[in-house]
Amino acid sequence: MRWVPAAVVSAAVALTANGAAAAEQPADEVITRGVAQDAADAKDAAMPPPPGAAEDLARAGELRKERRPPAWGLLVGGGFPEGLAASVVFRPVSEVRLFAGPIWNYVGWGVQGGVTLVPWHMGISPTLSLSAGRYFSADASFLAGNSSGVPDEVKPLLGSVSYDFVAGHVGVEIGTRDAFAITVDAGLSYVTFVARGTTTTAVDVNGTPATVQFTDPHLRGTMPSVKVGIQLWF
Amino acid sequence: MRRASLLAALALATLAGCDRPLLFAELEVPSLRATMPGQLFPASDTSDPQDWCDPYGPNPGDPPCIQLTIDYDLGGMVPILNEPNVTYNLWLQEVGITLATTQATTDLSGVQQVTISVVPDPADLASAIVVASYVQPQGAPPAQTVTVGGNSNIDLGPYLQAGRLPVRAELVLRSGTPEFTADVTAGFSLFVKLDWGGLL
Repeated sequence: MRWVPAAVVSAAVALTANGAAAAEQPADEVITRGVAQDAADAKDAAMPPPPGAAEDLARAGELRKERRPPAWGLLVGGGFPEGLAASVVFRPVSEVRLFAGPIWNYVGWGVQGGVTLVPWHMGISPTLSLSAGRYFSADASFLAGNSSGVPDEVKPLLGSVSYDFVAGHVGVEIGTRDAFAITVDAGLSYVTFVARGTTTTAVDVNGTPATVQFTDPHLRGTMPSVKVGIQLWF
Repeated sequence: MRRASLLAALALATLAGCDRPLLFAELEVPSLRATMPGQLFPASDTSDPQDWCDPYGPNPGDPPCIQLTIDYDLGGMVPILNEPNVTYNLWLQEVGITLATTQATTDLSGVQQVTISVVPDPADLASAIVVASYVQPQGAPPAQTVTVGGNSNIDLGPYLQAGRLPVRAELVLRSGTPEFTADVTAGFSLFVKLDWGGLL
């Protein structure tokens, strides 16, 4: 044996060494580098590529799959305007997360989803996310006329309310990439709120009684939004 | 790092491209009906020139045409219109004149024509802009309500003065009509925009 392929040596070192330096080098990367080095050495020596390179690369691919971070996770949290949310999170690549799940705001239920970008990972990682959601039509008339501060006369408008939102957030993720993290986000939301119904209000206009009737008011606008959450990876 | 910078730049460019303020709220009310009850309409044979449609015309009483000026205090009815940093559009959909229940006259069959105008300058009737009109069809059955269709293309927002909309109603009467009291209901659609970032 004129020479032992560097890929084999590298793999052996990577798989068996207990040293800190070796532990920091993922085995698949060590093998891939070794194969490349062997190929370069063979070329320099005007020799054919060493046998077994394809098998080594296949093995490196398997190891790479094994060391990939978990692809699926769970994110629970709350904030404004989405209320309480539970999301299934899917990570196609380590920098991108897709999430979707139900939301609840005491009045009703809805659905939401979005995408989060994590450009780099550290103990505290920055995040940039876009999300959207919809609360389905619900009866919020119980809120009127009690201690919530909602005037009783708007009760007819609260029998069927719904809202949609789109939010853009920047934030941080505190924790590990592969197990547990706390997320804190803040940004801007665009919310559209629709109430269906008609309300009639008696008003006194400079001593003259008058009545005003509103039908199907539609409110939309932007507002600051925040959310916090806990993220678990499986 | 470059990717994050690129995304941040894209986000900022998107925000900068919007012609709206960053923090805003918009209220759209497809139907807003404001009713002022008990408006007194003069008799067709009124002798008070104030009640004549054209007191300086050659024949002020022929045909009999009476007028009524109503100051619609929309700001008093919809308080948000008087808030700072608020802009709004207001379109008239219709005006309804409904006879009050206890009247000497029992219907509005004597009303031949109604014209509703906004009068930006009450001292200058020539400034009046017709925003709604009605002509009673021949053979229409007697009714206690006259509904005047509005010109929904005219934005009345610029004509509100401190929340008040000065309105003049002219009624051409085909027959002698006694003084009557009616509820006047104006139906609008309203769009309000609040730059609430300016309040911070």
